[in-house]
Amino acid sequence: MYQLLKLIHSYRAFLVFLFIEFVCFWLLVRSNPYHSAAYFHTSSSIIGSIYQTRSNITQYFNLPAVNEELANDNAQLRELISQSQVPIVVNSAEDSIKLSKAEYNYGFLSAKVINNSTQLSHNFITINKGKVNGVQPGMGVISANGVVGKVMSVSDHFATVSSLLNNDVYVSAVVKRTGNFGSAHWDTRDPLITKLMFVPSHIQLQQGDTVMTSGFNSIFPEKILIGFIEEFSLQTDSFYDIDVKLSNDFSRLSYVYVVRNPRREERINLENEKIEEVE
Amino acid sequence: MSSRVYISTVISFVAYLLFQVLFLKNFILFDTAFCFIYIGFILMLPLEIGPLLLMGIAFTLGFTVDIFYDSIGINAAASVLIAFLRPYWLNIITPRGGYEEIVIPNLKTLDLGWFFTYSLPLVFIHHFALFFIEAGGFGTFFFTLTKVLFSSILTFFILILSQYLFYKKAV
Repeated sequence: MYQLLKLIHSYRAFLVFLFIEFVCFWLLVRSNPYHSAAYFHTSSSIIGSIYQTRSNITQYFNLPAVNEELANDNAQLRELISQSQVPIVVNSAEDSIKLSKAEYNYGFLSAKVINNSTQLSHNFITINKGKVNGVQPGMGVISANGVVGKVMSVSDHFATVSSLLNNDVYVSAVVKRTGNFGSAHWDTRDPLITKLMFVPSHIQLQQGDTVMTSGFNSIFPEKILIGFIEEFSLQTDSFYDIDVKLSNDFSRLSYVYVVRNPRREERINLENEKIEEVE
Repeated sequence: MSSRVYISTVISFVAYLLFQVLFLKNFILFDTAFCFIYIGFILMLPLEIGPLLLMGIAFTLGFTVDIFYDSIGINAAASVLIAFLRPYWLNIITPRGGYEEIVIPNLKTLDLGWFFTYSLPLVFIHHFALFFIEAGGFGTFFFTLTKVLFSSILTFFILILSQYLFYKKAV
């Protein structure tokens, strides 16, 4: 027994090393990309306020670019308002479809990016809106230029967003011209390019085809821009290997919109009811 | 450990951490070279610190950096790895005359050649572990290896530079 204790004592550094590494990997594996607590993320209130302070100082350096982007955004919105003045009188079945679609409004909440990374394989963004403003894990985030990511964790005043430049994030996408569905997924190499997966090989693609969100899940509204097809090749017999040039320059994100789906809670409640019934 | 060393250690812990997460987080050269200067703190802890305490400090520092990077466990794992290797590496490369009068292994107390052999391999091991854990395996091996190589060079360069800035060589 004494020999055994002596042995353990002489290897204590190595054993403690193994133990700590085990803890690290456990933390790494356990931290699910979604629905995790805010304590250990940039959305925690202390870290969030530190980044907020830094952002308050550094934001002056890119004011011209931000102003230009917001002005463009305004112009686009004005155009949309002028286009959306559709007749309220229901004359045909098509009109009634339009109306029922209009009821299904997504809410948008503007937020400022206070922390951002683009070069790692799992990139995250911190924004200055949180639970108090109605942000919840799982909500989509877009900018004037297109899709940005999904909310991962929230504290009272901040939220951490898994950016589209995150190896764990898949976004349901559609090629606008052909109407074929795929999945946008970043391969960690180039922060300007994402991959579009699962597009079958019999489709005739063209360079410059627009890729948008499909609206299949409740996270993003339909037809939010993801990017444009830059290159494609047949890697296997059944699927294309497609490079999509992202419409967003993630390294220059400044203001974003959190997407609130009004039917989201309804869906979650429904799912919860099911679970209770089973129990 | 004298109280002076103790206080300066605490101050440099905070200084390394803030410098890392506020300035160097977005300081990336040519899309490949990252700088993780915070490991300089682990490399330059006093020699008399025992291996267990050393790993404890490394874990705390790595974990705090992780929170700022949203990468829980990754920096902590890599930091603990070099904290574990540090005493063995120090033993192997003992300079002539030993470490008798040396409290902290840095450029002030030891020459450039020794510091080079001391820190460069540890920086490389740290970055190797960090980037390959971050990439989640060896899937993009050469791409990740490029990141490791250039980042190691950048971190090492900044490490040397900061020493010339902050530690005056004792005459």
